[in-house]
Amino acid sequence: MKYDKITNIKIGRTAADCQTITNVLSFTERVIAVEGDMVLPLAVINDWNPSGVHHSHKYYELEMQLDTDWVTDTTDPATRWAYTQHVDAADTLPAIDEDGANTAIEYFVVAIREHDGTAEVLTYADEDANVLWCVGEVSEFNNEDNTMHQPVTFKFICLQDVS
Amino acid sequence: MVAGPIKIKNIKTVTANTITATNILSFKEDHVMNIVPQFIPNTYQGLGVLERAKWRTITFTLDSDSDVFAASWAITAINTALGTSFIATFDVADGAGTVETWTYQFAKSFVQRKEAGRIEDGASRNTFVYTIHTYGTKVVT
Repeated sequence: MKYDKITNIKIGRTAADCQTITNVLSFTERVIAVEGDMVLPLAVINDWNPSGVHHSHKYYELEMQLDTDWVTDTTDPATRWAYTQHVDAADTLPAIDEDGANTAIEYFVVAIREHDGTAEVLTYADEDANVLWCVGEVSEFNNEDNTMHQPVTFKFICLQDVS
Repeated sequence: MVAGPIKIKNIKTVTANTITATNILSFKEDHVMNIVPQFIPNTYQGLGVLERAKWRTITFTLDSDSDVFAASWAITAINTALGTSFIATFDVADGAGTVETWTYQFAKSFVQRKEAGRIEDGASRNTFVYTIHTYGTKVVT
């Protein structure tokens, strides 16, 4: 299996009510272990070999880099997906609230194309409440000649296993 | 209503205190969100997240200096808030000359750092870097 590219990333409430984001430059997942590593040797005084291991708390940190932001209406730059697309089951709240708590994203699915054209899907949330949040947004633009992409990067925390 | 990207071509201007600069090399906006997962002992999966204050840290790199932020910082006094305007504009890559405007809350924006002011004989770029701390809502039009 060899990955070729990101086909799209779907973010929203459900498979039927989500944004299918296609201008994805890159997608990154990493496992963050709160105590440092996922497993740490559990040493015993005067023993040469550790007697076991300590298992850390863990979560996913996801990064989605877009070639400038995705809007829900291309005629209106104010409709940035993170501030307009509803992501909760009650159909009222977006992923980022500038003056309040961010709402958990209930549907987050990454579609990948493999080198032979096979489609692969990574599901981080499928109508699951309170497991995945947007936790960062960085816009970086450059005026130098030959700048191909003007990226906007979103960071997420996911508290459950991918399926 | 069609969803899609609005691709930005370049940074056009930054305006603060009614002064506009156009000599911008790069722009970075970091929407900082203090959100950390919460755990209890003997569990591996987190219970949820703790959410705290949000703000934006914006960095402009200029090719040579500008007075755009000059009224809002001093060595011998506190830095005063950007007083009358804080607006960044961007050219959109649509061939129609569309300009996108990001308007920040000027009374809630402060010069946080001024660094890397470097002038070098023969250099193609003489960079001056300003970092602005801003809180409140951003309006995109």
